[in-house]
Amino acid sequence: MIESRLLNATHEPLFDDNATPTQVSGVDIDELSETPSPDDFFLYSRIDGSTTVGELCSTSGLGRESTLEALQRLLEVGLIDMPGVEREEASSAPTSSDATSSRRETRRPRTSSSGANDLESSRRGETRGDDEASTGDSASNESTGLDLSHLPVPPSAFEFDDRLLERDDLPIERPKRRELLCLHGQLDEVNYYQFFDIDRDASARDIKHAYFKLSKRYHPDRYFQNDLGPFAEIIEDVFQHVTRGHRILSDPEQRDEYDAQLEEQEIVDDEEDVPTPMNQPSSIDMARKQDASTDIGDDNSDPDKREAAFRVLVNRGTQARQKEQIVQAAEQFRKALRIQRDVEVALEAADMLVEADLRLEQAQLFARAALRIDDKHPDAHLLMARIFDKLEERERALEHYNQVLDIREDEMARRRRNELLDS
Amino acid sequence: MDKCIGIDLGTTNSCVAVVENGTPKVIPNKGGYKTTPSIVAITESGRRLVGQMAKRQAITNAQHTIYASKRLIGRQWGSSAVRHCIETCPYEIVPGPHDDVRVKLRGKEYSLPEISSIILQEMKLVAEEHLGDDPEQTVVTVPAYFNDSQRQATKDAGKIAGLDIIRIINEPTAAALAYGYDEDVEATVAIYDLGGGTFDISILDIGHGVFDVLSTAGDTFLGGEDFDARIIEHLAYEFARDHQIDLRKDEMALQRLRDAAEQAKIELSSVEETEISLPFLYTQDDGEALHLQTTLTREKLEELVIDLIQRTTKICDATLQEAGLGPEAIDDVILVGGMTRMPRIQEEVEEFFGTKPSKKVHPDEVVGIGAAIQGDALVNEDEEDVLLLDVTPHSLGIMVHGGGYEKLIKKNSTIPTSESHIFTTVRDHQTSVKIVVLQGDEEETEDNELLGEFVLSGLRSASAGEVEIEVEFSISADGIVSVSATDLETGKEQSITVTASSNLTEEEIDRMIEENEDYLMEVKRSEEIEELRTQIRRTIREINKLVSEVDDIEGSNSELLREAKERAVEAVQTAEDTIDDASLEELEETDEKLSRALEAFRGVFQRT
Ligand SMILES: Nc1ncnc2c1ncn2[C@@H]1O[C@H](COP(=O)(O)OP(=O)(O)OP(=O)(O)O)[C@@H](O)[C@H]1O
Ligand SMILES: [Mg+2]
Repeated sequence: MIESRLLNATHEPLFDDNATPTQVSGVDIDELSETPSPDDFFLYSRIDGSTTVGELCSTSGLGRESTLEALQRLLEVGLIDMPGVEREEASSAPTSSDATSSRRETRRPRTSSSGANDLESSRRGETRGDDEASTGDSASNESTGLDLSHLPVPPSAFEFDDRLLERDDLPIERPKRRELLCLHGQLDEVNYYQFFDIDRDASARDIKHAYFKLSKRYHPDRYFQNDLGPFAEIIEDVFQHVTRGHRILSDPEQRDEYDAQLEEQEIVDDEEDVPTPMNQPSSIDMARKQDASTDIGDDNSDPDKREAAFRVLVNRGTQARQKEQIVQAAEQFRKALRIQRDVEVALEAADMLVEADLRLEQAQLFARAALRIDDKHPDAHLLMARIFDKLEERERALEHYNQVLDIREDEMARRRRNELLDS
Repeated sequence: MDKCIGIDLGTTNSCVAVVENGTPKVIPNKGGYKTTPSIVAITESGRRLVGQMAKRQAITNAQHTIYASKRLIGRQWGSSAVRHCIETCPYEIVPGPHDDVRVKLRGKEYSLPEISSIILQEMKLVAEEHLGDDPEQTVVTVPAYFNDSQRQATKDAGKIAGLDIIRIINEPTAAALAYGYDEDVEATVAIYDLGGGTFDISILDIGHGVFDVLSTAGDTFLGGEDFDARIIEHLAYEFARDHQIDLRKDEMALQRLRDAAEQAKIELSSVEETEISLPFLYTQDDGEALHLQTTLTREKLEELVIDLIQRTTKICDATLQEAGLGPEAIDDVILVGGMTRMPRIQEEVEEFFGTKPSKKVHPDEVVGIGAAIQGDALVNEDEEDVLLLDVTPHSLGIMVHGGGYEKLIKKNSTIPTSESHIFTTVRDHQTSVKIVVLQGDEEETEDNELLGEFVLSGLRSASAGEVEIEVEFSISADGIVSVSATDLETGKEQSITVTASSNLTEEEIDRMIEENEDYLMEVKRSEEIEELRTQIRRTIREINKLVSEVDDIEGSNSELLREAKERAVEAVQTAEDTIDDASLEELEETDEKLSRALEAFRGVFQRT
C-alpha cells in the first residue's frame, strides 16, 4: 500500500507561483512526525503570509527545485498552509521517508535526514529481524535481489522510477533493477561501510570479500553486449563506486583518513543534533572528489551548483554575523564547509565564536578543520590556543601558542604564553 | 552456446584455445602443434607464408621474413625500440605516414597491424578447422604493459583479419584465469611472464571466482629475443676476433646465427654445455669458406644475460610495492612464457619470492586458455563464475598550462574507470582549448607517450576562466582510452576518440581490410586454378591411356573411332599448350572441352 502511494507520487511539487503560503500557528515543533532540515526551517522563517511561492524561490538561495521541495515537506508535516493545496494530516504520513516522496532524481535518496540514517544503521545490528518485519509487507513482492535493508534509505522506502522498472526491453530482472536504482540513488549519501555492508572495524579480509561480492554483482561485464538502456550508466556508476570504495578501504592510510572524516562528521552531527542537509553532499564525499581534483578544474559532477551553494551559504553566514545572529551564522558556515573545505571560512567561523565567547567546542571544530587543510596556519593555531585558554586547558593552549611562535612572531601569543609559563 | 575463441598473439609463438563443454582446450594446428610461430613471410611469387612454413624458409628469405613484429606494433618511428630493431632485423623497416612504422616486403609496405592480422588470420583458420565453423567472437591477449596505441594497433589487426575482437585482455591476467579456473582458489599470486619479446609481472588476489589485479608492470622490450641477441653478440664477437669479419653484416649468416643462438639457449635449459656448429657460415672474397665451431656453457650463458634477469626482478620488486605487499604475502608464483624454462630464471624468481614457483600451468598454453575462458565468460551469460578485475598499467593525464603533466587516472586503477575534470579558458576571448592527452609515469612530461591531442572549439567568447568545459576520460575494460567533452553552459557534447597519432586512420584500415580480402580472393582463385589444372591433367592422362589402348587394337579402327581419337588428341594438344597461363575462365572452358572429348571418345570406343 505504502509502496503504491510512493510510486504514484507526483514527481515535482506543483504549486502556483503566485500562491502565498502561511505559517500554521500552534504547531508543536517537537511533536512533528518528522524533523525538517535546517533548510526547511530557514524557508519556514521566510514565510510571512505575504511572500509568494515565486518570490520564495528566487530569494531563498536554495534554488527553485529545493525550495519547492522544502515547501512540500513543510506542508506535509503541517507547518504551513498553502491556498489551493489540501494540507495533509501530519499523522497520515506513515513513515518518515514517505514525507519526502517528492524528490525527483533517482540519484537522491528518499530520506529526510542523516539522523535517520544513523538510526537505521545502528538499529540494524541488533534488531534486524524487526527491521525486515516492518518493511516486509510492502517489499515482499517487490524485493531486491540483494538484501539492502541496511541502506540509509532501504528499498521499502525508496521511490522507484516506474518507467525504469516497467520497461520490458531490458535484460535485467526486476528485483535487480530495484536493487540498482536504490543503490544508485544514494551513492553520495551512504558511506562505504554501509555500501559494502560491513562493520566499521571490518578486517582486510572482510573488505575483500565484500568487494568481490559486489563486483560480481555490479560489474558491467555481467551484461556484456546487452543493451541496458538507462541502466548501462547506472551499473557503471555503481561499479565505479565499488572500486572507489575498495581503493580507500583497502589502503590502511586512506582508510584511516576516511574513518577520521566519518567520525568527525558524526561528532558534528551528534553535537548539534542537526541532520545533514540532504541536498548537499557530505564532507566525506567532497574529500573523495577533492582528492582527484587538479588546479585546472574541480572534479565533481556539478561544480557550478556546488560553488554557488557554497557562496550562498557563506554570504548568509556573513550576513547573520553582521546581524549578530552568531548561532545561525555558525550553522551556515558549517554547511558551507561541508560543500567546500576552505581555510578562510573555517577561520572566520572559529574567530566569530571565540569573539562572541559562544559554543567553544564548535569553534574548536572549525579551527581544527582549518588545520586539516593547512596544519601550519598560524591563525588557526592562535585560535586553537585562545579556545583552550578560554576552556582553561593551559597545557594545550600553551602548545598552540608555541606553534604560532614557531611559524611567526606574534606579540599577543608571546605575551600570553609567557603569562601561562609564569603562572 | 556461443563460441568465443581466445588467441594469444605472442612475439614468438601464437596459440588459440576455446572452451568446450566447460573445458578449455588448446586447438592444435594442421601440423599437430599447439603453438604456431608468429612469423610471416612473402615469397617471390607474392604468396604469404605463416607459421612453421614461414619459419622454415627464413634463412633463405631473411629479408622478406618478419619475426617478432609484436616488438614494433603501435610504436612510434624514432623511438629507441624501433631504432634497435632497425639495427638488428634483416627485414626493411621504414617510416609510415603518421610517424609510425612500416615494413617493406617485396617492394610493398605493410603496417604492423597488417602483419599481425596475417598471424591472427592463421589462428582463426586453425580454429575454423576445429570448430567446423567461423569463430564468431575472439578475445586477444596483449602484454599487460602495452600502452593505448599498442592496444589500439592490436585491435586494428583484428579488424583487418576480419575478427570480431570483443575484448583485449592482459597476458598475465589470462594466465591467472587459467590457473584459478574451475578450482576454489583463494590466494594472492604473482604471475611472472617472460616470453619472446616482453616481460610482465602481475599481482592478483583470487577468490570466489574473482580475479582482482592488484598491480601490474613490465617491460615491452625485454624477452627471449634479447637473450638470443646476447648470444649472437658473443658468437659474432668471437668470430670477429678470430677472422676479422663482422657476421652481422651478412643477412644469411646472421639468420643462421640467430637460429643457432636460440637453439643453444633452449638446449642449455636442460644440459650444462652445448656445441654450436655452423659450417660454411661465411665465404671470403678469395672463395675460402669459414666455419663457426664452438661450445657454450650454461655458466657462460648466465653470465651473458644476468643483467636481463635482474631487470625482471627489479620490476617485480616495484610491482609488489605498488600492491602494498611484501614477497612473503605471495602464496603462489606462476611462471608463464617459454623463457621461464631457463633454470637460472626459475632460481632467481624463487629466491626473490621465497617460494618455489608453481608447475601447475603450461607456460606456452595458459595465456591462450585464459583468453578462451574470459571469452566464454563474456558471451555466455550464465557463466557467472569468473570475473576479471584488471587494472590500467599506466597513468593517464593531460598536459596543463605551463607544460606540466597532470595525472587524472592513476596507474593500477581498476578498469573500466573514468574521471572527469573541468577545464577553463586561460585567456580572455579564448574560443578554443587544446587538450593534450598523455600516458605514462615518467617524471618529465615529454617522456610520456603522447596519446593524442584535440582542440575543443566554438567556445563562447568570454573572459579568462569563465567558460567551463567538462572533459571525461575513460579507460574501457580493454584498457583503451576515450575522451568526451561537454560544454557546461550549453550542455553540448563533443565526443573525441583519442587515436594515438601513430595509429592507422579509419580509411587506412578500410583499405587494408579490402586489400586483405582481395588477397584472400586471389589465394582462393589460385587454389581453384591449381585444382582445375590437376583436373585437366588427369583428363589428359585418361585420354592418352585410351589412345594407346586404341592404337594397340590394330585394324579394328573404324572411321568413327579414328575421328573421335583425333578430336581428343587435338583437345589435349590445345590444353597442354595453354594450361600454364590460362585464366580461370579459360581453364574452365578447356576442362569442359576436354571432358566432352573424352566422353565422346570413350563412348565410341566402347561401342566398337
Ligand atoms: N626450454 C627453453 N629454455 C629457454 N628458453 C626457451 C625455452 N623454450 C622456449 N624458450 C624461449 O621462449 C621464448 C618464447 O616464449 P613464448 O612462446 O612464451 O613467447 P611469446 O608468448 O611468443 O612472446 P610474448 O609473450 O613476449 O609476446 C623464445 O625466446 C624461446 O627461445
Ligand atoms: Mg606470451
